[in-house]
Amino acid sequence: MKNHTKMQTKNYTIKPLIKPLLLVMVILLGFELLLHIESVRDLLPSPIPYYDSEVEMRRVALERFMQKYEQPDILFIGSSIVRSNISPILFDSVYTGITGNTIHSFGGGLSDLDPDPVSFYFQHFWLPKCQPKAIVQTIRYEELQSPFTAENYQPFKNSLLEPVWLKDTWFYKTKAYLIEHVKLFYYSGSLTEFLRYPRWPMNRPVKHPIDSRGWSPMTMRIDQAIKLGYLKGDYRYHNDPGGESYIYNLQAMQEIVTWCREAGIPYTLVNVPEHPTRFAPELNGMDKYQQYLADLQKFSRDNNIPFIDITNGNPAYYSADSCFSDYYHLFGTAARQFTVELAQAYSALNIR
Amino acid sequence: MSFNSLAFAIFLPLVVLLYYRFNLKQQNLLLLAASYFFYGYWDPRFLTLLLISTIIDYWAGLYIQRCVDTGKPEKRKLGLMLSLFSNLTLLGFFKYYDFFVRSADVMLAKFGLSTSLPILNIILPVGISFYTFQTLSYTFDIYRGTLKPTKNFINFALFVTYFPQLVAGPIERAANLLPQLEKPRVVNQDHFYKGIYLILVGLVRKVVIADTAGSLVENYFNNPANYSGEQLIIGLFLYGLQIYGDFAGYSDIARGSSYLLGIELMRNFHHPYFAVNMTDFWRRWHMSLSQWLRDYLYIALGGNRKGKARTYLNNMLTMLLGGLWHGASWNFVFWGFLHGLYLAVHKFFRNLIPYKKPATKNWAYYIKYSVNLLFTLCLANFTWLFFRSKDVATTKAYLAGLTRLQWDIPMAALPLLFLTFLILSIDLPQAIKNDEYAVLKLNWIWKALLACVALLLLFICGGYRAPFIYFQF
Repeated sequence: MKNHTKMQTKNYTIKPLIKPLLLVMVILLGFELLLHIESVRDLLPSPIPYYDSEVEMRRVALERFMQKYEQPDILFIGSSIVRSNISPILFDSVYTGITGNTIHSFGGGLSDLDPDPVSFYFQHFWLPKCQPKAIVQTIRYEELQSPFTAENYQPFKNSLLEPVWLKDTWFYKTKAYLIEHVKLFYYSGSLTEFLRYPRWPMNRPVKHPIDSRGWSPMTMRIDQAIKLGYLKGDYRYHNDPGGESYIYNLQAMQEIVTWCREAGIPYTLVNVPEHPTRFAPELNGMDKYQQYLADLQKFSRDNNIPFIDITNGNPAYYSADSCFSDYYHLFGTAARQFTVELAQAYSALNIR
Repeated sequence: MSFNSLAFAIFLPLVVLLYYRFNLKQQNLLLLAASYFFYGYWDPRFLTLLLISTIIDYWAGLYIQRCVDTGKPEKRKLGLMLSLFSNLTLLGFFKYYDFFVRSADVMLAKFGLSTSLPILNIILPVGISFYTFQTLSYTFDIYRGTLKPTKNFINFALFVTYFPQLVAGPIERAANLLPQLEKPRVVNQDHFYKGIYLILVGLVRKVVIADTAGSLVENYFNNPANYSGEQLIIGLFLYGLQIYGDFAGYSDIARGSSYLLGIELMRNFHHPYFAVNMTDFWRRWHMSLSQWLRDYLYIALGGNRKGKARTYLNNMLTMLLGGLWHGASWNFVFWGFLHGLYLAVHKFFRNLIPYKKPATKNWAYYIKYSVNLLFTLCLANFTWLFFRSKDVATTKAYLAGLTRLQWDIPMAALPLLFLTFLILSIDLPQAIKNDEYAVLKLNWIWKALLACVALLLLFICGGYRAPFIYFQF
């Protein structure tokens, strides 16, 4: 067979492409620079590099918070319970009223996160973005029973950044850096997301608008939610405390405590009240609740960290339906009450 | 390996760069190795199936030709039977075994009987329907005497596994692909531009149009009861855009990648939603499959040579099997049946009122053209309902939902309008100029601007990476 060389196969030159390519690069660079202007970004649909659009909302709020106060005096971390049950602005005013010290706290509660994903987010999102002076983490019974870890949590798998954070190699670290810093990558999928939920103005949040400190008060009462058929399941706790997930989630919390200790950040654990239906007497609810609280107290003693339980061991501390938005989130007014009680209890700890 | 993955973005340039450095023999070996790697990247276990299919059909082709050459043409049937039996057994077992056992059990249960065969939950090897049909066409053509078999095993193996079209077509004919594999290739400026253009357009079709539409369609088909009739109608049209963008996008990337290697693959889509009747639609949609079905099934069944009634029946049977080719589910069978029915009805009316080419294209012609186009578009999109529904219950719920009209234009119309605009931006200039590469004739500034628009769309829509729909077939 006649030798068929490289020159014979490739019979084209990329020279004619140089000018168009340069023009393409200049235009893309122009768009990239445009996206670095905050007022331009404010007109556009929110980017969605994280598992939930509310993360970006909090990131923007935190960025603005940091421009004003440099770092949060307290960062509240946890699930959507933190997002809806704690108003940092109210917390600060109560705390300042009691202690005379002015503080500026920020709410870092994120939807559907259980202790292991909270720990994951604390490590990859909150700590690199702000150095809080103190951490307050909330917990409730169901979160300790959760089988979800950062690795097996499906919304993380479908997202852009979290799967990259999960892989700790230089390639993925570079990829994460590029996604977080090159706006064209950062906005990946944002048009599709906007088309899924068209709205005007385009940057209007899809769900749960937040205040400047990350609070999203719940606006629907439990009776309305039941009427609309949102709460059809059996919300009573059937599982007993203990078990593999329970221990694993306590370990995930332990991880946060360790990071905080190493960074010299005081850590406080807070139990949050739930609807009394959850600890149903017919399913030994009281025993479950007492055991769960005892486990948290032991965790607190073992790690030498403060533990706040404003319910004083009573699962029906907030018993009225009007206090709740569903079986776990407090309605806005009750959330304010809880924030006040939390601030009072926290100020008594005299954490510096 | 998926065309819209980072792995492919590294794989293709690497293969192309190496390819240009090699001579013909080395190039074919490289392409074969690359094709096996490309396929094995998904699941290496199924490479053995590819190899088995390749060996059997290679041997069958040579055997049939030997029978003809040695003056024993009656014996060539054995070679054809071997090829048919082995390919259909592979396809039947991996794709249809569970379906037939389940269906038989449901039927027999009515009489208190059972097949007693276990459900194996078999993993479907990606692309099995495509490469078995491709190799079958090779032995069919040799059997019919329209093709000479190749003696070069490497070239034949490459014909079966050529990576750009291995997992989702186009289903190539040996008469088109094999000669290109056997002689030296030249990649000229035209090939290079066409290749880059098709890859970019294919990515826009897939990542921007299909994946965006898909992310919306999912909701409608998961919970049709939650949506109004208008929203569900929009959902059907969105699915029409999704499947077109997905499959035509795949075909474009396949052809574009192949152009960079100097090999021209057949066109698989020719603006199917501009069709003016269902016969026209099937001349434009998944052309490599419809031509395969026409040449090896419809004609084998008698085509239109055995009277009108038999022609209608042959149309129905061909499309019914075409539906079943897509997937082992009654939904696909019913979808195929409906298309068969449309073709038969169209043929019936065409026989009744023969088509007359208009002398002039006046306003009456354009009105008639538009009405036909809209009717065909609606019919094709409505029929996707049966293709997309995962089960009969979903189909029923969706059909019931279509009647819940609230006489309101929902916000869901916005993405439909946007995606339709995008599809038209690609297809309309091609259709008007009757030139798939009309854009390449623009000056360089326009081309650069259009490339920018495409890249920006890819950036801001790229978050929803869904697998290609036709991978499951």
